[in-house]
Amino acid sequence: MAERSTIQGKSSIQQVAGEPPADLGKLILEREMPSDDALVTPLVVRLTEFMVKEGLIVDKERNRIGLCIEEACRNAVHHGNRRDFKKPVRIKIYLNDLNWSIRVDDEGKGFDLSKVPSPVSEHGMWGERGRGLSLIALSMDKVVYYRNGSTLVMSKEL
Amino acid sequence: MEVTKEGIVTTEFVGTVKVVSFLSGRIREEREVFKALEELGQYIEANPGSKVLINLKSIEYLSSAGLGLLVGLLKKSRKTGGQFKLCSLQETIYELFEVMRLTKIFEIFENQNEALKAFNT
Repeated sequence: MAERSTIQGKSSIQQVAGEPPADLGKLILEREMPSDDALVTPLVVRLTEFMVKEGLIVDKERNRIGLCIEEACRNAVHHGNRRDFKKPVRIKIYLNDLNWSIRVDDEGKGFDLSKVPSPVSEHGMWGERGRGLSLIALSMDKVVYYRNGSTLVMSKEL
Repeated sequence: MEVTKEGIVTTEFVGTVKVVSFLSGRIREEREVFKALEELGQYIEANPGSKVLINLKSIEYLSSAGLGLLVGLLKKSRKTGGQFKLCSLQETIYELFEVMRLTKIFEIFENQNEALKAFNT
């Protein structure tokens, strides 16, 4: 059963315990990086360049989508893999007739989405962390955490 | 008026207000922006009652870490009896502030002149 978070953007974020669906589409790009903060931005730049080149996004969407990839990768590096350089973060981009999806896998134990505090509460507004998921939800059409939270799939309609 | 330029960051004093601006603010430059904001935090802590304006005109990319740094600066400023304002946000950046309800805690102005007029002397 899917849990819905209190975090709301354009889409709400869901969490399910199982594996992501096998029919995300054709795998068009696969990358892997060690859990190192310094590697995130260069990867985001390369991935968004690829997505523009492939026509998945237009140039003016580059920052918005790059932001989603960055937040997802940093969460995987920090919270999933606990900055363990030896643990990789895997990123895959899929394409089908209706949408594209980005899957981000870490090697952590997952997390409970329902326990993630809302960054827009009276208290949360003053927080210096914890806005990443909301930024992802703002720009994506569908955001689902699988495998108890160690796999994120974010999708956008073509 | 002396303007200090370091990389993509320019700093100047307009009267008693320290104005920090960026020549560019793309994703590749985020680290440089963060470094400038962290240094600004040290300035605020070392100068109680300081007046600080950040001009975000050229910032086109701001992650959750960047938003968090700005919230941290605002808190430091309040704690030390200072004044802290933002101006000239691009539409997409302003939208992030609105969605995150940060427009409720930051004083945000359309342009630098309006912001400078709003500082208490």
